[in-house]
Amino acid sequence: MAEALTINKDHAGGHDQHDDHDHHGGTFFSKYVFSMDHKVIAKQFLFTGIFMAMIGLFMSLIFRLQLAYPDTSFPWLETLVGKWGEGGRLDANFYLALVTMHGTIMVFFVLTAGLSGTFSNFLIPLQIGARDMASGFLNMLSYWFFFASCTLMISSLFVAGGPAGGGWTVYPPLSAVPEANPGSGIGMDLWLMSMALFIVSSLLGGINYITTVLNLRTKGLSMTRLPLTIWAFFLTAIIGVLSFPVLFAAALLLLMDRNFETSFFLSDIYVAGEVLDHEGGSPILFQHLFWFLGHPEVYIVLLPALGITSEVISTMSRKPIFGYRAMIGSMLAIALLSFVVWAHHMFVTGMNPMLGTVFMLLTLIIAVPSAVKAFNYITTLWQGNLKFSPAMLFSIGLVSLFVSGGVTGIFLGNAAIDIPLHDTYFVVAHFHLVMGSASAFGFFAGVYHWFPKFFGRMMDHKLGVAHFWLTFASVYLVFFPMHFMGMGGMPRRYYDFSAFEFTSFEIYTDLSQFITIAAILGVFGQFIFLGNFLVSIFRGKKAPANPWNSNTLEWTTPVNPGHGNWPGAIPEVHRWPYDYSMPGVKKDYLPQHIPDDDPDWFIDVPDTTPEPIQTPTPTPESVPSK
Amino acid sequence: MHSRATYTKNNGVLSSPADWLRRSALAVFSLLMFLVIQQDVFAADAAKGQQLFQANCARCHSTVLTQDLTGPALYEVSERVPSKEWLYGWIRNSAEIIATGDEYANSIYEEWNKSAMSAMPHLTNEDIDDIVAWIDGWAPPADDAEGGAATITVGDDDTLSGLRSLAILLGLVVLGLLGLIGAQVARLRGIEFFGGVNFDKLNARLFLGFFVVGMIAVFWSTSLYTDFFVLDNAASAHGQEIDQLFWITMVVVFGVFVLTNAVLFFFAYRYGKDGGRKARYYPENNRLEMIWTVVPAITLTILVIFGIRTWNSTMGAPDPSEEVLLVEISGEQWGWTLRYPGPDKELGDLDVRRIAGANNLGVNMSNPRSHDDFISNDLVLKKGQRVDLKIRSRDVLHSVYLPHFRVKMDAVPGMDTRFHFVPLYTSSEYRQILKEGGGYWAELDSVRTMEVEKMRIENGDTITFKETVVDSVFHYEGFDYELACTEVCGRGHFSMAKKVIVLEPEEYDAWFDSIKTHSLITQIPYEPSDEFPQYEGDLADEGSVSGKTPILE
Repeated sequence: MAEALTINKDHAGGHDQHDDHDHHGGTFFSKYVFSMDHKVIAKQFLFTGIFMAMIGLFMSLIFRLQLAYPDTSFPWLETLVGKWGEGGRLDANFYLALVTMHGTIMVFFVLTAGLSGTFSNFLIPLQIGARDMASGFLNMLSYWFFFASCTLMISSLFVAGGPAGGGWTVYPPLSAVPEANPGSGIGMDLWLMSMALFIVSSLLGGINYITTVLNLRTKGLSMTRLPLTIWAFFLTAIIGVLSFPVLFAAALLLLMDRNFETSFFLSDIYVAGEVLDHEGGSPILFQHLFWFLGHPEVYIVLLPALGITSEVISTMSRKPIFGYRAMIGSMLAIALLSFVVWAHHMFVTGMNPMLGTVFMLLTLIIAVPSAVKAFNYITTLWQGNLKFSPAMLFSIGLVSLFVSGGVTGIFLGNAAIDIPLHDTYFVVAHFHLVMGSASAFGFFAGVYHWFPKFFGRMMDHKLGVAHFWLTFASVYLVFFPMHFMGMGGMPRRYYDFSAFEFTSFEIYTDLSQFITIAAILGVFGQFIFLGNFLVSIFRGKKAPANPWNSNTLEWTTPVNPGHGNWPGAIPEVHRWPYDYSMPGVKKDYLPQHIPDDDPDWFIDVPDTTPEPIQTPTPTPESVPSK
Repeated sequence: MHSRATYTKNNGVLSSPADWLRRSALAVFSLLMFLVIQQDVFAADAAKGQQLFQANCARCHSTVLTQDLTGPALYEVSERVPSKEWLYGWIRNSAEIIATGDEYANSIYEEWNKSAMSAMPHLTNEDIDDIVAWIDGWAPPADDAEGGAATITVGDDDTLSGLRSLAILLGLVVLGLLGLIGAQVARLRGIEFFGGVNFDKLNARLFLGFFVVGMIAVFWSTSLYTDFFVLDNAASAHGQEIDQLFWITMVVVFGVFVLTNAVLFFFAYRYGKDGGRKARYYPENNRLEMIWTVVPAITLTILVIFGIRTWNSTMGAPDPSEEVLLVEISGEQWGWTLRYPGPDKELGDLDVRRIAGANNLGVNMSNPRSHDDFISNDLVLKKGQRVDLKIRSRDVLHSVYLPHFRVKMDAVPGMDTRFHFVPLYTSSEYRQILKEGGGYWAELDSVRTMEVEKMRIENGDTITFKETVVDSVFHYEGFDYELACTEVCGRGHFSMAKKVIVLEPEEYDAWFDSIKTHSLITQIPYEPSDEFPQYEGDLADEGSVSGKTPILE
């Protein structure tokens, strides 16, 4: 550690030789395709993530149409999905396949790789003052494994039997026995192989992030001076490295059960007129393995979003983040606890009720650090000077969703209350708010906030505002009413609700339609984002060097940083990153690299006169570079 | 009847050939009548068939027989299938027929994506005849013949509404693109939209507005759905504890939800509305951190204590001295089979390897304990008596879900799971509870008008006339407890329905007495095989699955 802290800037990175000729040399392929530059790789993750998100969103619209209009024929559906939409009606198997693929794509490909992959790659070297990741080569491999994984997952849409259809949790035996479900044929093998590649990608990335954060921090940047974004990415990587291998094992064992007649998860099964030879396995074992990753995965998805929010809320409130140490502590607590709560997904699987007691206790404890984080965000806003950049709007939205979605976890984490609520729409509402939407909001906040650093241009502010309000409203309109459905007992993953009286009340049918319409509106909102994003890359206003008057190191690079990030020496760090509106400072921010005796920044006698100086605070977009 | 009366009246007057002729004619007529009546008695009963269809087939086959559902449309099914015997076999266990290589069976199997029809071993030949009779007698809606056009119109309507959604979607996309192009053009021409708007102020106000409107919407929409919350008035003893805990938690959670969001949105409004103010440098306050660590911790501890108590009382083993009602529920794609122990109060063992023919559970029929077991269509329970639900699956994961009883437990192949609960109200008592709760349940569902034939005697003559009777049906009258599947299990996951009926103890006993004659041994003959040795176990220990104590006298 001591060595890491004193590491000489000249040794950091290992790409110093490129410093002076960053944009020269190398072919198109080595610069943009098989690039080892963390910024290019981050953009690759960003574009792939957005692409996958559009696919995931469209899938949700198709099955939302089925849920809202189960008796309606949509002839275009047949054009779109062929035999799965014969006569304009969605096939029940394909409905399940869509639900499965939507979940898989959104959780892994969008909110894990798209969010963490993009921002960890982009921000870790820039914010810790490194020229690149510890291993540019592993980093490149990480992306290309991810790309291969995406390709396999998408290709599973086109195989006989369709893609995997047993839910994103792929519980065997449904996912293991091809006779039980058409989606459990080739589609399922592709799913498992795609996930295996995904895990390899995630591990390569994670090891790199951890190593980079530990070893390549610039002079003066101790762990307690790290931006909370880096803390979040760092802990996320640790969680990922420790939990993803377990899913890898589960996927491997399931592949073997499927293809090599092993019986890890299968026993006593009669299907399609035959008794299978498998004996002695347990489907519950798979669930333990799956959720040992599956629950930490929730925090793998959420922590980066919370890290981004910390950074954005502090910067745009022109205030230090409230309770920096408590924020780190709560993230550590969440990271630790995330490993010991997995079985709260399994209260009613028939596992020993004693385990239920233990996991209920551990699960509800995790609400404490979460509450600390939420209250600290809110306190950061207090008496701030809020600048509503789109990133700030999304960050405030995230806090609201984090609270609204998080509190319902108190019901679900309570084993007794989970009995009636398990696998109902209450769960769907809960995790879409707290994990899905909150993380997506973190993603948007990150894109809007760091777009100037990504592409050297600004995104359109007004379209960003429109995008936020449309998205924020539609998220609440879509997911909040699902609590009512859950309290009405409506099970999830139902193709149709007409088989039961308790699920087919007219008021719920109407609600389904309402939710679908709100979802269509929400997806429309994403087109505003997409348009704004794509047009701004080429046509956006040229960005100043430090558009948000931010303290962190990435804004000390040139507007379009080349390979190696800083053309000259890497700046040294003299303080933590949250000295906004600090008394005794001429401006309302104080970048980390400014030495304590810089007369451009400090009022003559820095330590004795805390008299605040009114500096005109420029609006975020119009600030000229310093 | 009429003819017989005539015959009696003429009895004894047997003199002329004409009389003889008349008597012979009457005799023949009577014989014919008798045969006709016989036919009526023994031939398939379409009305009963309809009931059976609803109970057994409707979860996969549409009651509108010309429509496909999970299973194929059954209109004119008897004309399609090779023979009646084939149909009997197919319905009781289609897998077996498929396995024999039967051409027609395999063609259906392939056509329906290799998902076999759920076996219905409890249906007798007569049951199936009844169902077929109903199907044969069923005709597509009357106006169908002349009004193919009418049907198409309906289809068009549906299509239109589908197209409408698509059109809305496309319209929005086009609008968005136009907006983007417009914005670009405007930018190039130097026009600025919303140039005079202070976006910080606007956003600040929007945050406040969002909260106010949102809260109104939350309270208003909650009021709409309260009648339909299952989590109110549990029908089981442990369920009432769960409900209580749910609503205690709700008070805490809802308070936190409203207050935290209120503060968040208010701060966003208050400190966002006037830009340019100097922010307060306020990096930390350990006392505040302490407060919002300790207060949630204490609150959660209290909830955890309540939770553990309720969980333990729900999942704990029942008192061994208590009489329990053992019922076995087996999940399969896509249906449930309910097996009750007979008068011996013990269930015979089973094994998926024994599944064959009518024995779709794989019950070991060489075990005498299996003989008096019986299969029931509905989950029938006895009010006040603890139920020991033995849950299993023969193929993939399922989950038994009885929403009104707060019961949920996965059905795991290769492993039995259990759930114990005590039903508190009979089905009809629960209907009364719903009625007294008012709201939706006490409202009128439909008014049926029926024409009833009546007779009255006027001046010694019997006059028949028709009278219109109005029958009001309220929502609560249609209520039934239900059982559903909550673990995704493939295509038919959404249709695994069973009716749950809770009876008074004496009603239950009567039901039990009436159904126990349909014991398994009468349906599944025991055939010794080399594969499975004859049952030789000691009846006192192995080879049986039973509740801890006898359950019925």
